[in-house]
Amino acid sequence: MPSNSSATTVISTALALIDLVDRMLPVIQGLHLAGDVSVEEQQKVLDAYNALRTKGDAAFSDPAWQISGTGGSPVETPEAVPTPEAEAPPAP
Amino acid sequence: MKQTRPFLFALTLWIGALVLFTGCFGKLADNGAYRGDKLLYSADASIVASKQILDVFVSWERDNEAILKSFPQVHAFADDVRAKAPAWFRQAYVARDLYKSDPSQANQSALNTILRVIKGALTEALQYLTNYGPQTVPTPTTP
Repeated sequence: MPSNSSATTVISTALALIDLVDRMLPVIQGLHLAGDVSVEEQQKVLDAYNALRTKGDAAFSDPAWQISGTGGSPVETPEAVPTPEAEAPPAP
Repeated sequence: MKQTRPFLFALTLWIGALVLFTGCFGKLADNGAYRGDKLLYSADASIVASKQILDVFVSWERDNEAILKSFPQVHAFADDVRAKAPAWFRQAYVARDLYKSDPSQANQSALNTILRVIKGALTEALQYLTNYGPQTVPTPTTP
């Protein structure tokens, strides 16, 4: 028999996953495993990318993205990409 | 009792992410925004989808922080993602632009490198969502 906190976790996780699938579906549906990716689908991906790109670091301003404690599991840090600080403007 | 729904959700996401990162989709319409460049399309789609999945992961971890204390590695990884993800995405944008302006082997390799880093984080996040979802988290004292 799950406790109240267990139930909260179940609901919270389920809602998070449903929300994620909801948001992922247009992207996943846009990928045709055996067919062409249409002009419209390409435009949708480009628009989504540009919207994210425009936000820059503000895309990580949600409270869920704020560090609350000391982390530290080893996640690979890339070094091969040049000029990591700047958000270079699109090439002309 | 097994709860298969979260697993199926995670499986769906795995497949979606796999398709995005491997570029296993059909040919791009030539007159589309990507002009037939599958790597650029795959990169943009991967970046967008990864951000969405990581959004859900950090939200899930934050919402369930108290219960997940039994699994400190989840919190440690979530905070690591919080600390590093903005830089990963900035680097992805730069690498993507360099590749777009000059699709040389070196720039293609740089783009793939940063995408691999994001994919690694995504893979771990999805593993935690799968392993520490409702099936496991509510019963840390249960053998």
